[in-house]
Amino acid sequence: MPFAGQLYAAAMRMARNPSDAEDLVQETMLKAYRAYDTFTEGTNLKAWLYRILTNTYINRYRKAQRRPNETDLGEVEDLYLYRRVGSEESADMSRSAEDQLLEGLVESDIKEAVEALPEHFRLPVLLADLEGFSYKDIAEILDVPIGTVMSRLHRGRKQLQRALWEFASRRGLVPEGAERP
Amino acid sequence: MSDYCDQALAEIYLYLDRELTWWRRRRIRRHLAECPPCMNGFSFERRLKVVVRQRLAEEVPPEFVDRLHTALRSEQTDLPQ
Repeated sequence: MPFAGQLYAAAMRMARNPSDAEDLVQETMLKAYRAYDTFTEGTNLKAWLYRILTNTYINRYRKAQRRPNETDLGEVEDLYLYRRVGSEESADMSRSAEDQLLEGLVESDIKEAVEALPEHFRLPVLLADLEGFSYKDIAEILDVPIGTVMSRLHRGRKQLQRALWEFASRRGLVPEGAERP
Repeated sequence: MSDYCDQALAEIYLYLDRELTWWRRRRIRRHLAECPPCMNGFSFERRLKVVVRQRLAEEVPPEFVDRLHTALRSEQTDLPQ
């Protein structure tokens, strides 16, 4: 089962707990097994599996789970994190501030920040940044136009940066007042 | 700073996701070569993308792998060939 491990990481961020994630992966693998004759040889097997995973998640968990901690932060500027780290005066200084930020953000920060994204942002972000799917594949997996994928993915990433900034400031990973003009 | 900075920034994710045609990709690469602020911004975004991917990894519980194997095996014997 070469894909089960990969599916599990995505399933964890969708379902947000291990037991639901396991159910999600198991159901996905069983559905894939049963429907294997509908899979077209030579097309993208991984994308096909993720389409099953995503649909299973949407049908099974979306209705059941209310997500009070999901927030849409509205428009976030480009390079949100980058502009907040380091200073223009010294390239060396800002490089080390960047390192400090990137190294200091631990697994749980990133996972929580992803989980806090509203679902229409979270799914494209997971498919692109965790799984490395192309925009075209993501459009097929989520059954939305490619332009929708692009705008949700880009806005989702910027919101993720804003959430990461909150974690970083709370944990003192960034120097006070170190903001790029 | 040049007029092209805004254009490059508008395409930053398309560039990092390798979704640009080669000539637009080349155009951005040329701009980055002569614009250190954009180069720094782009390389920060690239590093962040790597960090996000790495830290979203999950250890699959071995008991779950066993359970999954069992479930798929019983599926195999249930189904008419």
